[in-house]
Amino acid sequence: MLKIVRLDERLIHGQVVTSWVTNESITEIMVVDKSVCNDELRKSLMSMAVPEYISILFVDVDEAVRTYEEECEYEDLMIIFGNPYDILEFINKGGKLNRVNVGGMSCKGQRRQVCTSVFADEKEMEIFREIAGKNVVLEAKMLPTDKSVDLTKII
Amino acid sequence: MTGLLLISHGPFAKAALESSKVLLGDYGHVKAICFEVGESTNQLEADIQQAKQDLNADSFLVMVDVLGGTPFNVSSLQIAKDKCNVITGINMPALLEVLPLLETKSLEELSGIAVEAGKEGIVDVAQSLNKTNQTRKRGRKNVENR
Repeated sequence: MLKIVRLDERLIHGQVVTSWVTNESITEIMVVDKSVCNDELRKSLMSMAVPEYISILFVDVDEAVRTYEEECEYEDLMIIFGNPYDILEFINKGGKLNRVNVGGMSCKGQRRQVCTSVFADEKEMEIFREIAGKNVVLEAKMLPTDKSVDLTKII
Repeated sequence: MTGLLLISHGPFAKAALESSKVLLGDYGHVKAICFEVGESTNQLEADIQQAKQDLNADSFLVMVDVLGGTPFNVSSLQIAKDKCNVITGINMPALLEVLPLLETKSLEELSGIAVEAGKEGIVDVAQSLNKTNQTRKRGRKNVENR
């Protein structure tokens, strides 16, 4: 089943590997990010970081839409997106999501702080609103033990 | 000379370096970077570049706290560019072994030493005591049998 969908610009990193994967008993991670798909070094580094019993898939949005339902039949799946644009595209192309865990979006460029761990610029805020408009709950929460913040109420 | 770079989530890297000074004194050629909550990967990249410049070494041994964390991800991407290697799982045994050797050993040698010392420094004391006691008992028996 689809256990958790996360937005995290760092994709697979410490918090994901040490907390979320164990907490949600994940058996497979689908990383949706086109640039990583074509970067062998980054793929190797991320694969190295994940325990061997967890499989890991690197896909672009189209392939994610095409394959995620089948993966959910056999695996306890975590989908990780690197940016909000890909999530909106995923939904627009037929992907079904109820809830997105918004992990880190760091402070850079024109971004302003939305809540403790989330910074977004105007365009990204607009995308958040569009996603929320499709009845998707956006929940900001870095770690499973953190208190969650309902982003849809702030944006 | 090889420069040593310690990078952690939060204060561990700096604290480990401070602790090493209690046991060894200050050897130099080492920088610690603490990657804090809310910091961007770009900032971390910049910090690493700055630390490398400050160290002004021929090569760099980077020790990060955990496999798969952001310090690991960011520093490992630079393996191809700079003459450097990344070792995961900073611990005191590895640090204490490597610090005094930065001027004399090559990057490859230091990498091996760090991994070996790091692993060997982790000991289950109860189990070791058991083993030692068994060996002693066997030893005594041999003496008695003689």
